[in-house]
Amino acid sequence: MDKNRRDELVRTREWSERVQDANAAGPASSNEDSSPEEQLVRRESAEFNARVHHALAEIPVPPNLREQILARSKIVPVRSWGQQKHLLAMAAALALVATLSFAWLRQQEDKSFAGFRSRMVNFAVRQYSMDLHTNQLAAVQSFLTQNGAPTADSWLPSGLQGGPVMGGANLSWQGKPVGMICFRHHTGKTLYMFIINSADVPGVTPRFNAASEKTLATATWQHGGKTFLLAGDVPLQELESLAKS
Amino acid sequence: MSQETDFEKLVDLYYPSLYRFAFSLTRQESEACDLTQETFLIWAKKGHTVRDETKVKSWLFTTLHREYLQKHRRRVRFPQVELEDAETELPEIAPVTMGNIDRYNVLNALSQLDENFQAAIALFYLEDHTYPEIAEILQIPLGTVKSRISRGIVQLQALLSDRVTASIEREVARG
Repeated sequence: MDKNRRDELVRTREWSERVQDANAAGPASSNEDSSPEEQLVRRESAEFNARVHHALAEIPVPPNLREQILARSKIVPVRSWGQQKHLLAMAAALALVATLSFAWLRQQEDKSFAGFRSRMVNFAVRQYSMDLHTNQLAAVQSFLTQNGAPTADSWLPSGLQGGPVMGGANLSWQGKPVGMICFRHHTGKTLYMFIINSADVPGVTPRFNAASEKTLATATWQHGGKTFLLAGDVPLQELESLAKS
Repeated sequence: MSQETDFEKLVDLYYPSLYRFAFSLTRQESEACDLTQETFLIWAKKGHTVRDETKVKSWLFTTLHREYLQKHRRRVRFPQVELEDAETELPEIAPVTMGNIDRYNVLNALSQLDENFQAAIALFYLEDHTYPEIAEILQIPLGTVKSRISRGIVQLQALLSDRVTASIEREVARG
């Protein structure tokens, strides 16, 4: 059999009319202009390729992938610049006021560990915005590392190991990078774990500490030069046992 | 129809096939999810430059493949493949092989293929990509697409035959 003819027959695809090779003549049952060898190669190739096609089509798609895509890809409508002139001027004025206010407020903010904890709890209570939605801890760790945020590396309290991961975010506090990893508690509530380099938080106590902050229970500890803050709307004792185990 | 609605419809239309293409290349769920998400993120930013609606599918797959390659910079550059050097004899496929072609064996075999062939083979088997579409996605000539697919299939057949033989031998040994 001609080498080129064999190559064409090997590529026989019969699961869709759209992709049938135009050079492969007729279905396997046709006896016209096809030697017995060609018919055999076409028939076996068609069956083999169909099975591989169906096997790959069975690759399961993660059920939450669609939501992750939509959450991550926000559409911003683009208007012409002419229509936006007055809006731009207003936005510029507001941005200036916001910048000056932020700078003044930051001067007033508590820069101690208590201030860090309060700020992170506020974030968890009021904003709760993840940059990355995924159930893969490694993906969150990689995302945080790529963005210069501290991560848990390969260490987690045993109470959180294997727990359902929801995603993470790249935050900052007083200009210092903060990593956030979210876990789903068995009650359905979200547990927020904030990670900051211990050197970036003045006055952080090295020993384990559990306390309530506003409406959330919190637990803090240090490991590997990093300070961990776990916060969640769960009983304080339970959060403490998760973090301490 | 709002832009968000159009975008959601686009996602619904293509995200499963894009994910399966990504998974066939990476064999890792997290990486495949990231590639798929990244592809639609890029579409959200730049998709408005695609004027021809018939090119949307190819654009998405091209983008995903490019993102995959960028993450795997250590891949060798595609050499020129001489058809005359290709195998002329197909390995025999025993009837039992057909019954054991499941996605696990196929994905494992796919990972062992020559890297030059993997993407072309994955596109050949997934979705209804024509050869011109595959050539456009992979940015290679049409003839090269066909030769890579032919050689890739031959390698796949050999790998799956070996895998099934080894599996049967283990089952026989266990009695």
